[in-house]
Amino acid sequence: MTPTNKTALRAAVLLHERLVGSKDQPQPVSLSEYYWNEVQQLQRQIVLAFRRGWQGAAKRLGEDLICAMQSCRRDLDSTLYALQDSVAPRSPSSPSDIYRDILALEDEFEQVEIDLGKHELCVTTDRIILEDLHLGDFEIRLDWHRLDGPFAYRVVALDPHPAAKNDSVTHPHVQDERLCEGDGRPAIRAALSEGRVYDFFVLVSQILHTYARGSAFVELDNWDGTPCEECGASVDEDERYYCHRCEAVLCDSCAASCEGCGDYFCSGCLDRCAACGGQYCSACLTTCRTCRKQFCQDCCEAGLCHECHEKQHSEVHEHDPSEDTRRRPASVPA
Amino acid sequence: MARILYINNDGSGFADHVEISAGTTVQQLFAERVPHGRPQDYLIRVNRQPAAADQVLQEGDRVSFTPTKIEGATA
Repeated sequence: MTPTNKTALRAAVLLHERLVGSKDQPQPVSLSEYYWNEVQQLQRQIVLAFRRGWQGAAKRLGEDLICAMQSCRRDLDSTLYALQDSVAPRSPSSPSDIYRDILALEDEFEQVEIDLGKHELCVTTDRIILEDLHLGDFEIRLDWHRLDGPFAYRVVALDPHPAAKNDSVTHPHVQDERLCEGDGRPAIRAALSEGRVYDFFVLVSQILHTYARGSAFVELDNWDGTPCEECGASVDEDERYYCHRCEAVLCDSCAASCEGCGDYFCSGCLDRCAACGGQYCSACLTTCRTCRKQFCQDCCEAGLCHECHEKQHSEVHEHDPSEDTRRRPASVPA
Repeated sequence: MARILYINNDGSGFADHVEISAGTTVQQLFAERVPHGRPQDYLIRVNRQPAAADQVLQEGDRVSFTPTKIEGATA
């Protein structure tokens, strides 16, 4: 027997002992308060943001609240399934079956490691590529001391390429090293509760190789975000603004609205009124026929800025008050 | 008749010993147990190894069908 096989055999025996031992022991129910506290805190912050009229902040906090509530639900579900498993009848695999499972993993995966000290069985997947997006290799680390608990295993990105908006999301269905098992949950729970470690690792690997559009922590379309053309920050699709004139992608902070029409523009497509200093798009500014500066509708009259208008008016008055009406400049459309 | 361990990792993850007729092949078992599935959509393993469609199953074999695509979620 090779040293590797001895380690595999030892791991199989320990894992089996754990399976059989935990079967007869009632498991304490442990509910984490971390996410629930976060939900309550965000809820208070949203109320405060609304009271102060901070609509943008309220929207962002709302998105954070969704994430916190999903995490909270995930924790509850995990605990619920662990509790259900602990009372359900099951037939644990024999030590020899577990041993064969461990040996077979070497044919199925790039790498298999056993850490007896950390009671971990770990496999490395091949490179995961979903819709041309390279997410790298992942380690699936099973802790056989936690088989009955909600977090029996972790999914660790070895060469992480996380989502731009959230670096704890290393795969569309992995956040904080936890896989959201989706359709695979019952089969994974069944495999773990029976000690079928080969099936467990294969199931997790197949979920990692699958992208469920519409059910991801971060959708692949938004994975790398789009850089704001003003500040370079990554902008998610549903938070994007587009310049009404040049169609540049802008973030919430860099998109400025024209004080005349209210449309959003980049800084290059907005100018200031030479009189009041307000920001306007080119369609809402008029060039004074005399001084050639640009003015908003309020600061311009009949094609002349107030200053030029008054100046011209007084000049006409001084020259021939009786011709004042005849020499008044023709009205120029804005 | 032969008795095998049959594991279907689709859905709830069925795993139990079942009786099959002598001479049953992998393909026949798949057609019988997963009537609406296509073999190419599953990892088919006999005794944890890839198997040919015409492989005849033996007493004590461990046969598993695992979908190649399993959709995860967010919560």
